[in-house]
Parts: sequence; structure tokens; C-alpha cells
Amino acid sequence: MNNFNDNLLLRAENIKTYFPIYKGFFIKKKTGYTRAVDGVSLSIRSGETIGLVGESGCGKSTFARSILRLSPITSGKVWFQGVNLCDMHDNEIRKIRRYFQIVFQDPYSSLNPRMTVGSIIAEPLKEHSIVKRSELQGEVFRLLDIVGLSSQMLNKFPHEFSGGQRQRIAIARALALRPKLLVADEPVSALDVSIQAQILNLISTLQKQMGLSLLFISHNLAVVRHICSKVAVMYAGKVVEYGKTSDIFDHPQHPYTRTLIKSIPVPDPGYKNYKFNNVEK
Amino acid sequence: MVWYITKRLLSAIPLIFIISAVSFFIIHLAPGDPSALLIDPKVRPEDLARIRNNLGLNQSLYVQFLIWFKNVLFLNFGRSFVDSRPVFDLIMERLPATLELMGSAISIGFSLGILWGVLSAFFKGKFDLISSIFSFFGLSIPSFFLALILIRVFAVSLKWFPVLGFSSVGIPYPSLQFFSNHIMHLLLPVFAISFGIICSVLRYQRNMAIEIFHEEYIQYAIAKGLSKKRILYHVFRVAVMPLITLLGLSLPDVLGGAFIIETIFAWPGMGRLGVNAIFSRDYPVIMGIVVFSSVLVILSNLLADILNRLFDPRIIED
Repeated sequence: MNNFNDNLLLRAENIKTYFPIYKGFFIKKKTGYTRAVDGVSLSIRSGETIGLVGESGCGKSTFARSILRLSPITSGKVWFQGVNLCDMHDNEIRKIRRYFQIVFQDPYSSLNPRMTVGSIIAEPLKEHSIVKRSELQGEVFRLLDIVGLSSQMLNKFPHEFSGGQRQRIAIARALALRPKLLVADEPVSALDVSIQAQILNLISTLQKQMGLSLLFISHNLAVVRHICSKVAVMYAGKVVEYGKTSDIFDHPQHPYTRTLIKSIPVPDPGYKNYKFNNVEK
Repeated sequence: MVWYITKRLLSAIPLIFIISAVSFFIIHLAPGDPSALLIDPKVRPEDLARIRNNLGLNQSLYVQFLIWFKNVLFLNFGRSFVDSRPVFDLIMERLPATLELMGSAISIGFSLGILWGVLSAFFKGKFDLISSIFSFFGLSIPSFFLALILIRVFAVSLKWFPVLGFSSVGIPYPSLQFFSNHIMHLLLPVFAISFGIICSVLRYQRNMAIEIFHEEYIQYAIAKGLSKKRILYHVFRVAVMPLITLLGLSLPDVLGGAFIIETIFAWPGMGRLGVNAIFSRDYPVIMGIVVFSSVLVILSNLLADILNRLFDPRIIED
């Protein structure tokens, strides 16, 4: 399986993540499985932005965690630059983790409340010895600057920041490792609408500047349309449609995709009426 | 911070007043009189009246209490009815032994409990199951029963440890031999007290740690490729916080347990002094111990709050 072309960064093959359901009081028996992710395949090329959309609970986040090996995979293979992540031992995977980073949905729970912003950003740098000890401070300043935070915030704790600022910290922390793939797991859904745009623009600018591949998970189709070049639509653990953003939005094939697109709220009331009338017909 | 501590210390005085008032009146509600226990039953009534007058027992209860409390504010706890020694000296004599016993039991109990709890959450599976069963077992066993079993098994049958006391008789005080002998005496009572602490902390810490393992910042710690040791450290730092409060709250329990354990092991501490004082209706000693224990509890709670403020950046100073 090493006939990877240079462009292909990550390929997930037929990923299945099942969670066992236990029943019984004293003696627990497996009575079945929740098929959170049921045979999803996806390829991500360098510099590409892929959107993963679908309703809550359709397995988007679990799929992302599975390919990053944060959730145990039931079956399937994840090829990252030609190596299979699923075969790797804990120690090997630890070293390769720096190449794929994640920004979580809730910036309130993704930052350790007992660590200062400085140490949150510096820790991955130290752990993977990305920069020399003497350059550590400068690198942290640089990262803070990139995400638009001032260096005076270095010694503050996460609770002193707003949601948007926290998400910026989370992004700085992820970028500290100079990853090749960034997974953004609904990075703006916990934020105010006015802040959402700022964070989205930040992510998409940084992605272009650093040439990152981005897997953008969202249930907000308007956002996905705004920043992604390709979209995969998930429903009940399966990818039901995959293609270029323009194709998906202009000529949706699957009925679920059509429903999803129709559900996008439109700021213009006149257009909204038009849309609703069309739906009824 | 200094202002905060002063405020807390000042507010402790009315608290101690209330605690001692309640215990003072409850003790005096109990039937009997110290003079009846002290004196030959064939004593002449006029002698009895004289003795009662000397001890201040003929005044009304309220007056007795107010006089006593006024003296306490100047650290004068009165004299023992039994041997006429100042109560303050009696307690100060016994306090180090109690603090030694409690301090070692709490530190052993908490450190083992925390470690075990985090490991149990980390490894899960069989290890976790066995720890859970063990901790339920440990929580349901009363400390006095455990103490008796420990004495029966390890001291009487196996003869590994001495049965009771602070140290063996006839060993010169400042020597290595005395020290090791003393440690041997210390082990069983410390274990009897700390066993319960280990089990309750273990349960608490395990649940705490499991919760924290699911937090996204720990997920992220895994995602950024930290070693297991670092991840455990991350969990540890967050999980220890609530335990500081628990530490302050557990002191009254330990202090109460010490009364029983000290009596069982004949440990010359404040607890045994208190139990003896209760049996002989030695009011000044009982009240002295009540005040000392409440001061200990109040101080430990204050210490827990201060530590919380120092360690947890989220508690904002007012």
C-alpha cells in the first residue's frame, strides 16, 4: 500500500468505530453495538480543505477522533504519509502525533484550567523538542502573535479569557507543533456569531499561509461552503455524498443532502419565503 | 490575603463561643456532679458545700460559663478537678502525640488514596474492580473494629507489633532504639485510622480522575503526543484540587476517630485524656479539649481555604 502519490496526506479506509452496549446489573453482557462510524473512507491531500457535515450524533466527531487514534477503531485502516496508524504502538504514535493536530469544539473544556497560557502553548514544543530551550519564549510569542493575542497574556489562566480568545489559544497550541493536518472539530459552534467569523477567517488564513490540510467538521453548511473545497456529507455513521463543494451545494444527489441544504437559514426573508414555497411544491 | 486571614480568624471567635456554650450546657445536663465522684461518700454536708464553693459549682450555670469563657480568652483554661494541674499544661502535654498520630495517618491516607485512585482510573479493568471492592470493604469497616482485629492478629498472634502504648518501658529517650521502638508502636494505630481515609479518598479520587480523563484538555494532551507520565501529571494537577477541601473537612472525622483509637491503643494523646476526663466528670479538661479540637478544625478549614486560593487560579480574591 505504498503507492501513495506525493499529494496524498491521509487516507482512511473503511473505518468502523463501534461502541459496545452493555446490559445487566451484576453480570454485564454485551447486547449490541452503537455503530458510530460505519465504514467511512476519506482521502485528504496536502493543502486541501475538506468539510465534514451532518447532523448531531451522525459520527462526525467520532470519525475524526478515530482517524487521529483518540478513539479506538473497531476495524479499518488509516494511512498517514504511507504508514498505517492503526498498527503503531503507543510510543511510535506518540511521536507522529505532532503531524496531525485537533482543535476541539468547546474552548471552555479543552484548556487545562491549572495551566497558564504560556505553558499550554509551550508544552507541546518542549515535549517534541520543536525549538531549542533558549528560543522557546520567542516561539510562544510568535504563536500568540499569529493567532492575534498579545504577549502580555502569557501568564494568565484560561478562565480569564473569552470563548473566542480561548479558541485562539487552542489554535496556537495546535499550530505550535507545525502539523501537516489540522482537524477542526466544530471549532466555532460554541462561540457567539460575531466571534465565529473572526475565528473562521483566522483558521482559513492560517491554513493558506502554512499550507495545512484541514478537515473541517461542522453542522453549519454555510460555514463549510465558505471555507471548504470538498465536502463529505455524513448520515448515521456513513458518508452519503462526497464531492466538490460547488457540486454538492448546486447539484445535491442524495435526498439527505438536499434536506440538509434546504435547512440552511437564510438572512433574507423574501428569499426564505421563496424557498419554503418551493419546498411545499 | 492578610486581610482575608484576619477576617477569618476574627470570625472564629464567635464560632468557638457558640461551640463551647453548646458543649458546656450539654455536659452539665448530664446527671451527676464532679464532687460526688471526688469525695468520700461519708463526707459531712458542710464540707461538701465548701468544696463545691471552691470549685465554683454552686453558682448558676450561666455565670459559670461566662467566667470560664472570659478566662479562656486569656488562655486560662482552669485547673483539672482530678489532679489540680492547669488544663492548658495537660493538653499541651498530650497534643504532640495526637498531632503525630493524626498527621501521619492523614498524610499516609491521602497520599496513598490519591495515588491509588488516579492509577485505578488510569488502568481501569480488573485493577479498578478490585480497588472498588477493596474500598467498599474498607469504608464499611468501623475503625475501632479494625483496630481490635489488628491487635488480635498482628500484635497478639503474630507478635510483629507491640500491643499498645507510646513506647516500651525502660528504653533511654534520645536514642535510635527508642525511635524505632516508637515507630513500631505508631504503625498499628496509624494504619487503623488511615485505612478508612485511604478508602474514601480512593473512591473520591478515582471518580474525579475518570471525569478528568474525559475532559477535552486531557484528550488534547493525548493528541499532542505527551507521554503517559505527563498525561498522568496533567490529571493529577487538576484532580488534587478538590481534595484540599476534603482534607480540611476530614479532620473532624479523624479527630473523633482518634478518641477511640487512642483509647484502644492506650496512646497518650488528647483523645484519651478526653475520654478519661469524661469518665471522671472533669469539666475543665473536657471543655479545654472541646475548645482545642474546635480550634484545630477551624484552623484546618482555614488552611484548606488558603491553599485552595493559592493553588486554584479560578478562585478570585475579593
